[in-house]
Amino acid sequence: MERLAPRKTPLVWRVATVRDVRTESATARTIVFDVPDWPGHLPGQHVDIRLTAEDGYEAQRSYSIASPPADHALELTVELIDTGEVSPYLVEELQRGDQIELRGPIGGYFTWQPADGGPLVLLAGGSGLVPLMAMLRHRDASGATVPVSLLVSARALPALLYRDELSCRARDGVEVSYTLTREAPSGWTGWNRRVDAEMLRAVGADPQRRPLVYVCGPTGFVEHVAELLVGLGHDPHAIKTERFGPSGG
Amino acid sequence: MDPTDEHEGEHLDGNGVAGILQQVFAADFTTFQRVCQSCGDRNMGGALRSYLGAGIVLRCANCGDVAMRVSPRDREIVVEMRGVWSVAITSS
Repeated sequence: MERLAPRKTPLVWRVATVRDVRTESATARTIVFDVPDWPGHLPGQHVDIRLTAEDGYEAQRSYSIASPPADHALELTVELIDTGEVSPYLVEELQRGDQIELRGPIGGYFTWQPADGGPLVLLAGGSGLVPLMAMLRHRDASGATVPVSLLVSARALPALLYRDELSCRARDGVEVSYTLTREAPSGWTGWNRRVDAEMLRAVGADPQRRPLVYVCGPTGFVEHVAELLVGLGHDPHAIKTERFGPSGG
Repeated sequence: MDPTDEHEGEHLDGNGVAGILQQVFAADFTTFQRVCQSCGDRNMGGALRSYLGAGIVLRCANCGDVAMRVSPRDREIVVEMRGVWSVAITSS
């Protein structure tokens, strides 16, 4: 199977137009953009968004791409950071037809494509699910049969992203598990604690299976999970990680 | 240790600063291979730890020694690189 390299296109700011917005949770929404001359992307890549105030002040942040490469529009799912400079605008104000500056795609390290093989173990903390979702969507869109095990960790049920879509995708070799680290509703059948070694083994992160492991989330989550994985016997270099910070948004 | 390095709190990684570094190298920095001058660890740019302050400091994920310092100024970006870096050249 051919392995695609990211296209060598100069990284330029493009003016993207909002085609649609979708609410994903109480604090997150997906923004669908039309981007002129978008060069295409690999699942796991991100874009930079730049906001410029009238006085010339600029704020720039990175957001993971949620949509698979085959989609005609570019989708970002953005989580609101109350004290952030960019996410409140993206989550609460941006409307259909609005325009915004973005550049990308960026980053070939934290990417997966079918030629990379599997099995895949995807470990998401909060909105760290977004780039992993692009991988899962691409797996399905490309007809790949690589086994996937996805573990999503979130504080509470209302914070979970893409829940309906994930329940539809959880078949044909795709397993989806959840853990809620704070409150869990009555009748909750997932885990209700921080990710631990037992949980990782249960979702197939056993080094003997030689899975490709991707971890994305806030720094604390990524460090904790990567440490557990190394403790299970994984080679640190075989674990791909992507972190985002609380000050990011 | 450079006092400007870590005062901004917890680190991120090389992925988050890939946009600005792509301006510098005109290539995808996250896939550059680096061998650390201190511990010999071989890793990719995306796996390095990043600390944001007045500039960007990237550190080895294994031993924490400085891998790169990036200082944006008015009309230039000053880059100091340490260790052995290799960049794949692909025909376009």
